Amino acid sequence: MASANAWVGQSIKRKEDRRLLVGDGQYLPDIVLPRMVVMGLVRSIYAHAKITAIDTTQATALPGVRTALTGADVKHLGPVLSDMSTPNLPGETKRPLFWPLSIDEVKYVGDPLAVVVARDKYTLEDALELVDVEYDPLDIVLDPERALQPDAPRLYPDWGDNVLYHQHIPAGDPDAAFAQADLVVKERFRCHRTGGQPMETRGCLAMYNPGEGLTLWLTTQRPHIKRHLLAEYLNLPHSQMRVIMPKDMGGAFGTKAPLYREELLACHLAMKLRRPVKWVENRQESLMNVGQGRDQIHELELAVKKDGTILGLRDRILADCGDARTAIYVGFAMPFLGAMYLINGYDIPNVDIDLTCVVTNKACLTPSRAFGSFAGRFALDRAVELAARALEMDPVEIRLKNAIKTFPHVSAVGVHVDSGDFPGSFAKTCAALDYDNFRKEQSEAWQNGRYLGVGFSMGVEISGVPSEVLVPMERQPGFGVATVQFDAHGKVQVAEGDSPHGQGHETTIAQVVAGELGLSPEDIYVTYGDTHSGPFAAGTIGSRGASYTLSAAVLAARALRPKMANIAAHLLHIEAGEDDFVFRDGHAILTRDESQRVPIARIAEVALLSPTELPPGMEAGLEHTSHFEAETAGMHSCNVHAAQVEVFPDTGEYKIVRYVAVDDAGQPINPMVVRGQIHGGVAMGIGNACMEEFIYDENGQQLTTTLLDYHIPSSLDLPHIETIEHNVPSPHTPLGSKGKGEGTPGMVPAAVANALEDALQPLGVKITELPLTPERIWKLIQAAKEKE
Amino acid sequence: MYPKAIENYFAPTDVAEVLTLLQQHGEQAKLLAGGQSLMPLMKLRLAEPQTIIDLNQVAALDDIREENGRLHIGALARHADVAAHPLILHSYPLLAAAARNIGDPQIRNRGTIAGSLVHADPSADYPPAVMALDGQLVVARADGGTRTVWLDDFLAGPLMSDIGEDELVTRIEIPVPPAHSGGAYAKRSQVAGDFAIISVAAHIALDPSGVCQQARIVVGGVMPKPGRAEQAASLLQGKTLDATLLAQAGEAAAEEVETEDDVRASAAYRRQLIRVTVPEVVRQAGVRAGE
Repeated sequence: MASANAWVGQSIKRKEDRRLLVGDGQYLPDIVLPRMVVMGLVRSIYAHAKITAIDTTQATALPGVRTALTGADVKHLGPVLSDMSTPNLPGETKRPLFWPLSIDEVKYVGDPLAVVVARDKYTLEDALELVDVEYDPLDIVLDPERALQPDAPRLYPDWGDNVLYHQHIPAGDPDAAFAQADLVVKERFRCHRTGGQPMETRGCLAMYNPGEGLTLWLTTQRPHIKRHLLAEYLNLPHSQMRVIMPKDMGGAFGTKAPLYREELLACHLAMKLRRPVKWVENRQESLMNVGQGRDQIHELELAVKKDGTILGLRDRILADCGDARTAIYVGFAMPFLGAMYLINGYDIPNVDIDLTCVVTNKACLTPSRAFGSFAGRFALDRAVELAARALEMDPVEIRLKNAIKTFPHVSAVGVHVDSGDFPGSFAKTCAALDYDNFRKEQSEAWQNGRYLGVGFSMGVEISGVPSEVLVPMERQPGFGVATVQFDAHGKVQVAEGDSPHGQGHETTIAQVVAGELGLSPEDIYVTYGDTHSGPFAAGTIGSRGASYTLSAAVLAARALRPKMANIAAHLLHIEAGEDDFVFRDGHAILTRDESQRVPIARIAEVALLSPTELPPGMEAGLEHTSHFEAETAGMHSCNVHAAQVEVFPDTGEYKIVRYVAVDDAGQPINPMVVRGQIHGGVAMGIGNACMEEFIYDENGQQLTTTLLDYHIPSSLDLPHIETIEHNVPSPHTPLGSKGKGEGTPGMVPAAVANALEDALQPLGVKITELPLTPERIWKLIQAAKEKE
Repeated sequence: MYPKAIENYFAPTDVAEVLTLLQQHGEQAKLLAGGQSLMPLMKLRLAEPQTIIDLNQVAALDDIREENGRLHIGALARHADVAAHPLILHSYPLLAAAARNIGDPQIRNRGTIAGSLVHADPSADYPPAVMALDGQLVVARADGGTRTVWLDDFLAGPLMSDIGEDELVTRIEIPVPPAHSGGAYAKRSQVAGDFAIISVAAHIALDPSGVCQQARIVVGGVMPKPGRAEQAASLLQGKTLDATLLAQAGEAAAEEVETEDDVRASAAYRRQLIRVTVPEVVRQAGVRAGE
């Protein structure tokens, strides 16, 4: 029985915010245990070198130092990657062989080669300086195209080349499509190295005793997945391995989804020393090791008819995966999914995608919000813009012509898109921009020497990943799971297996469960993060909160209603079942006579405190666990973004005058939370597209290891972000809700680049590379002027 | 990101005591004012002082007042105080603008003017601004004497300044600007609050008819220290500041100030930003001078 849920669609204030705003958040570094010691890493100062000697004697002699280990001391633990921690993707995969500490050879600046444990952080840093390492530098390779050359330096000599992963994804008949084309757009697009950089860096705290085993507090998006991989690696029975994500985590953006070498070391050391071992990454380490994503070259061709119909696509993608020594994603899972999502919201029937992932002497790519698809979406939406310009077609018209029109839709490469409405989204976008008038304003501005432009991007955003896809790819389930459990006082605990860290689950799950049970969100408390108290789930990844996890909570709440009705009927001494009651205002109310009602708190009391009052034969307790699996191979939301800019050609500086995001959340549970996800996603997208870049010098030294050099925008650097809802409920979730969060940054680079290029039409500038720094724009303008 | 152990920490309450401590501890000691450069350097272990002499308890080192035709700014005046001081906002708006451009609110609440000048980062906001105002530093010495030094001479190079181990900058002095004069400051940076790609400070004095009597233009964000655009300034002398002249000044400044490549920008782009920014800033300074 799907009754209207009274709390759905309400922008109530977030339950999380009070503790966060007043400083009551509980983060990993806040946890202190008796006898705790701290861990730190000695990291390579060379991008590629043989380690000829490591001497830890001076470090271990320092008072307060407990131990120091090198690669040789951890070799017995075995290689990090197993079948379980390596993606199982179609195509040719090679597996880097490595240990928690590098042995004999380092492969990037920041590569951990020794670990030190001390009583406090000051002593620890003194000791780290005392570890003496001798290196014999080797040739390095930093450029992915250079990495492909036969004489390039090799990261893994036994591979025979530097190719980590290769896959060819053909669909339809691309050769025929190109033969029939009136126009072929061919361009090379380059997306730089950028990604996520959470406010809170990585960290963990490991505690071991032989009775209970190992407990690891960990900044992670996926406590359950980490648990089973850690148990496997450490050779512990699953019953002896517990992972806890602390109550609060200062963001992740994908960077806390992989399994990292440092976590394995902390666990090993806690077992070895029989002391709690804590590791908190510093900002330099974070910028040196995680959040580095994107970094792709696309050589993309579109086959287009005169009327703008895109017949086919060819793309040769080259992804620079860095050293590829990070478990679960191994640097190539992101480019793989990016390739699968390349054609995205466009209906392109004939496709030939060739993806090559190479290793270089840089940090391994880590997941970053918009998982793998940031670079490809830039390339495709830029190529479509170039096609429109060549055909003198309006950029909206060409997109509408090629957008997915009928749902459900299965893309040429097999991505299932359940629902959406691109024409409706474009209509709202154009109305918000006053698009027709803008074109007039733009021509007038050009005549007056001002450069105004508008750019669009469109795309589908992942809304959770179903088991059907996730099981073969990552050997993990995609279902959402939640346990809804009444306590004896009529309040409800919802335990989820994911680990929210900014997504607002405590609020939105409370809203839907309250609505299903006739309670108020204040009556609901959501718990998460501890593998020993929450159900097994894949974690907070891929926009699965509002699609999968929340849907499981809805189903679990609904599953309680028959029993609640039976208890109410028994207490009212009447014959009635679930259909005879509504649950509203904290009561089970008999629909045929609303004066007949039982407080829900009374029902819970009977079920738990006073079971002697239960109907004869009924089991005590009032709880249910649901596993939600959508009956489809993929759910998505369809979104359109537009940027309006003014460019100042003397300097290449520009102002994003307006940023309009028309997003589909299916059925927003809390529209304010949805807007927050979009604001954050656009901000990250603008930072990534316009300002941020991980820069390596010719020796492989990273030059952007402080936030002074890695330029994350603040509110002062961002435009007002206009969010407009255009919701098409998903037919596959109980409330029609869709996930929101993962995809948004991917919408930004093409929207802004298209707008800049549009503004500069009189100067004939073509933008093919990111980031969109003013200097890059200025140089393009200079080059265009020289051509004239 | 944790500093090396410090052996001595002192919190003197007057200048004489600071100087005595400097004499005793000399090269092993670092002065802690706002800590906005020193603390990060210590956390990165690029600075490892044995002794910290904390200036924050020293009385009357943060005064801002005009005296004998000169503006005195105490060494410990915080950026936020300089940015909001009525006297500075009214008569030295370019200095207020420079202070307002530094970092973020937390940095401006702690950081001090003398700390920034002694640190001598070529891309910092204060150095070009204080140079454009012909500012001097008053330095107290352990022997009881004081010396006064032009900021131009005090800045020796990137992160290098002319300060002895037993010396303390006690205040900045700036001549009270003449009637019909005005200044302006602008910075171009990659994100708000960042160090400059380039910055420009200009101070212009006009005669009553609007003809430029004197111009000072200083460009920051260049190596080894902010550079005076002398030729650009001399172009303005005796002329009315019209658009053509301003553009010429921008060209001249771009030609005469040396620029270099770094992670933030290329030398060529810096030249272009100087070319564009000098006219904007001089124009604004001229408007203020005429008000």
